[in-house]
Amino acid sequence: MTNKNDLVAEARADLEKSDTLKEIEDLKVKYFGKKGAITQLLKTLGSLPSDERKQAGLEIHTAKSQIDTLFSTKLEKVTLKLIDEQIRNGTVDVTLPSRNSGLKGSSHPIQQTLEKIIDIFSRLGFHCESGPEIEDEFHNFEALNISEHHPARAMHDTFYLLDGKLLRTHTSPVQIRYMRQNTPPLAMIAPGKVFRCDYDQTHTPMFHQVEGLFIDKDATLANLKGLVTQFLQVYFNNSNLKMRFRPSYFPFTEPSLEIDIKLPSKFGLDSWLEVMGCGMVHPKVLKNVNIDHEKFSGFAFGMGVERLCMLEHGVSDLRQFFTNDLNFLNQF
Amino acid sequence: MKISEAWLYDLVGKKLKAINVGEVLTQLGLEVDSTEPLRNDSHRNLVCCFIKEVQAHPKSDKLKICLVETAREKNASVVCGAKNVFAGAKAVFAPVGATLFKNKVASKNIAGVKSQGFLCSAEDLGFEERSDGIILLPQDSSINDDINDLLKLPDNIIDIDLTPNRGDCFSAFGIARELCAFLDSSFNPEYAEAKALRNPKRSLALEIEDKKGCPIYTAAILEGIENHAVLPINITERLRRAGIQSINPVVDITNYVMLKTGQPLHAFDEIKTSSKRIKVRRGRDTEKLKLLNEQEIVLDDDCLVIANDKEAIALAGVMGGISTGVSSGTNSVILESAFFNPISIAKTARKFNIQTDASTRFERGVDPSLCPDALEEAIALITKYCGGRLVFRKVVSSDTHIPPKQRIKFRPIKVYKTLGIEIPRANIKKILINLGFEIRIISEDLWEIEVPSFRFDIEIEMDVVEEVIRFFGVDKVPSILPSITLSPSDNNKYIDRERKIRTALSATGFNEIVSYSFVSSKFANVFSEMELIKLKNPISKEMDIMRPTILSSMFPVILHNKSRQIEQMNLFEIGKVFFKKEGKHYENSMLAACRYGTVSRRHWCQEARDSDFFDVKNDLVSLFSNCFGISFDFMAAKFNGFHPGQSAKVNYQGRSVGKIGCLHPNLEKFYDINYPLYFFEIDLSLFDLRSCQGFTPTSKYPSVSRDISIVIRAEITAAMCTNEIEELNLPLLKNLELFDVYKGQGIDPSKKSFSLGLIFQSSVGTLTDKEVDDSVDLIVTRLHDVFGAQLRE
Repeated sequence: MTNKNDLVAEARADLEKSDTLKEIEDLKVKYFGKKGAITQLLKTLGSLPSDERKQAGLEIHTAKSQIDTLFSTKLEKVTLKLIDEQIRNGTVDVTLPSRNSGLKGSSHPIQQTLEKIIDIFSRLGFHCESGPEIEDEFHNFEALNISEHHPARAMHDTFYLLDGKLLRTHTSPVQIRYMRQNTPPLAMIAPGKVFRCDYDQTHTPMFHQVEGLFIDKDATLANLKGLVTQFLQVYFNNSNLKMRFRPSYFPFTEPSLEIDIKLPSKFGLDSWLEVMGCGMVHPKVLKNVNIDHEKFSGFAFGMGVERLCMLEHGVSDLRQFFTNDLNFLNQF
Repeated sequence: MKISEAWLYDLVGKKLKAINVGEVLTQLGLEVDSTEPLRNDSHRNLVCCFIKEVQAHPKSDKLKICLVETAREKNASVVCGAKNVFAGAKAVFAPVGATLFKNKVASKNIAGVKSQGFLCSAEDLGFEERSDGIILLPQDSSINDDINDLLKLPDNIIDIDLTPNRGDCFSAFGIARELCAFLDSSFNPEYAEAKALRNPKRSLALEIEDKKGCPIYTAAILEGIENHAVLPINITERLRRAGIQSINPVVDITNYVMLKTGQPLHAFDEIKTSSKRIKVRRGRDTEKLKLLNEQEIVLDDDCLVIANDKEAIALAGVMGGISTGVSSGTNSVILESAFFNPISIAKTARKFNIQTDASTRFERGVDPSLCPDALEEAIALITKYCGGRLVFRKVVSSDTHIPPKQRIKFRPIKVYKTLGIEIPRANIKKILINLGFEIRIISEDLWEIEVPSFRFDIEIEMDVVEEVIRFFGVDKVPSILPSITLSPSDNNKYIDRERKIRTALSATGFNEIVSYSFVSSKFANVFSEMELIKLKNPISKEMDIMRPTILSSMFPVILHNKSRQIEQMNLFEIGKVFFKKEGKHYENSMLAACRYGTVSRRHWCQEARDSDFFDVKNDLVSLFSNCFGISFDFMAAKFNGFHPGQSAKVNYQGRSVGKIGCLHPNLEKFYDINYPLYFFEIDLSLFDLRSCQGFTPTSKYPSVSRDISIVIRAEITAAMCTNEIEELNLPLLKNLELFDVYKGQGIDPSKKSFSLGLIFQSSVGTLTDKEVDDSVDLIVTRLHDVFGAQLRE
């Protein structure tokens, strides 16, 4: 019969020699298994006289709990060591490149500008409307007070199809369609592609416009100024944006204005930059869409999306937008 | 149009000095594009001189000796080679000690005669590249005058971008009128008057056949002119500063009068015209006319011409004919000053694609009352500077065809209603009167406005309102946000749809592109079987077809980037495509995307791999399941430009909505494309954004998964197989996944093996083995019955 104290010492010595979970498990069997030392000791209790049994039982249990503690301490130590090791082995150079597709992904700068414009007007309560890109003379010109020999037709270098239809030169036809289908008050914008027969550094045969329309009982030029001022201030995120309104000419508005802005000098531009055209909707246009111009008045405005995008980002060659060079696109 | 600011000072007066002319014009709606300064510091000490005497040079026929008087020197002797020097002229003298472009003038010996300086030409002053004679100063200048005042230096050349409605401002008078009105005064144009014609020595019949096209025609004949005189500096410089090239004195004078008054004039060589009659008529079919620019045009009934007895000699209001052109040898001219119908001129100019100073003015409207005044002025100037006599003058007009003066009912309250602020009526009146409008006050609230004949742009009440606003100042109108009844604006479903796709695709590494809607027929035909829509007037042959597929405009973008050493790109575009079907145009909103190059770049912990069909298929499937909550069926198909073995029709609910596939190997080879290129193009018009419509509660019971492998004939497709299983409608089958395809060892060469992952789950209880086995059995039996499939051992 082993001395109980010796047993504890033996267990301590055994555990000290063992370093792995497996060794510890094996030792557990040695002491606590069916044939383990402790189990054996407990089995001897039954054969002891009853007066000794209590004392012996107590001693065995004391030894057992001491060995238990030794085990759990050791187990904890080994586990910690293992986790340490796991961490050590699992340490990576976090600065190595990620496992990526190599692709950045982007939405086109023109689309970003378009969405920004649409967002601002949507928040102001404007309805956003689309329309066909192949148009007819009526919607693109006549309804807008641009008669066949109107000098303004020379300003619109129109692309024609073989059957006399044309590619819209502005998104105003969308407004014509909208006014014919809805009754005032109206507040809408028409974003989209437009086409003109022109190609150089500042003209591409296709570009994007957003045109807007507001019609109500007492809409005034002061309202027009108020609205576009608000828009431009929000767009350029500058409540002190320098703006200039000057009279101009469009067949579909009377009076007509053009809006110039001055951007902070970080853009290196100190001159006035034309950004929008606008005006009070021409009475003939209202008549063409069956809106009583004595009862209602309204204003319309339009802007080139590329123009705003170029100003915002400092892009100087319009054609870059349509070359779609990835080195360009990835910067947006 | 360009105009000398100094000229405007001469017309408007000193008070113009107080304002910034460029800014004011822009404020008035005459947008100033640029202001080019002409400085006065390139010369020093030049003076005005009086040429007292001109003597022959002893040694040269070409040279003359002039005795000149200046403010400082009574008698200076100057050698001069100019033809136009004459005794009594006023000229610009560069005495010894003066500087010209930093060169000091020294006393010189010219062919043996001492010259104490020289008489300056326009070339010497840098005004012209080359000049034939010396500058002649106006006869009323004095030797005490400041030379810079006489030369109108410094000056600014103001370039105005006129809007098409303002034909009236196409002249010095027109602009002066606006400036006067701005300075609160009205402008009174002054015209030179020709000597009265007492006994016309000549006759010329003026026959106006088309009175509507030409309501007023005035003509004059001047004979005995010398068309090689040098015109005085005020005319030549005003023309030059307006960007009008000098041709010969008569032409220069007609141009000058046009620039001054706005009335285009034309001069015919009277001898070359050789006709007793001038006709204004429609062109005759197949009639030919060679114009001054040497372009030969074929006329027809649509155009208005000026003709002699035999043939057309000018395209009315646009350009003269070369056969009757005025040259320096001309000594007799017919001057024409007419009013032509603006629309007729616009049509003709557009038809032949000719834009001239004359046609641009006529198109926009020239004051019909100007014709005689402008003619008078031209006669006066020609006789003054080129000599000659007026021998004929006549005016023919057809009053019924002259545009009547517009009368407009105007309610002053309309100004307030339009602007949103009040302008005093006295101010409104003043503005309109200064602009030449006449006002008849019917009542306090209703005026009748008579529009001056030079304003073709004022037709309705609102036009009058605009005049008031222009001169009141747009800047003085306050900015007031409109107030509206709030109503939630509907979303535009197209834009929302595009936005969602754009966000999803760009987040997964796709770059959005925007390519032109026109393509070359080459690329259109490569990818499409549609009937194409052609442009009548394309920008170039490479852009003459409306794209029938986005791929046809995306492909060149891929090629461009490939040429820029980009080896991996995922692109997408949302836009319209255009095609014709049974004579009708269609424009459909499409989404196209491509995958080019590798799936991933070479990397320290993974293998680079080329993209394949199933990558792009996943791009498509996951995009639409995410954005629209829908799934597609794919059916092998063949399309133009696609790899015949790797392309499919994309179907949604039995309708074909697009294509997906790989670039045809022929194209790959032709365009030298080194990596596989996959793409899809989907018609977006059929899809609405996904909206969640209820949901199925998730089961709380565990799911059971089983994998089976079946051996099946090689020609049976995955879709055929899974469709059969789906048709069983097994209530417990929650998911079906075909995860492996195997051909090779252990399998009959005419067959293949599919491995299917099956997941079963019940919403009412834990599944027993038997329930699962029964379901699997049903699947195996069905595949066996339909395709003869066997479970693989």
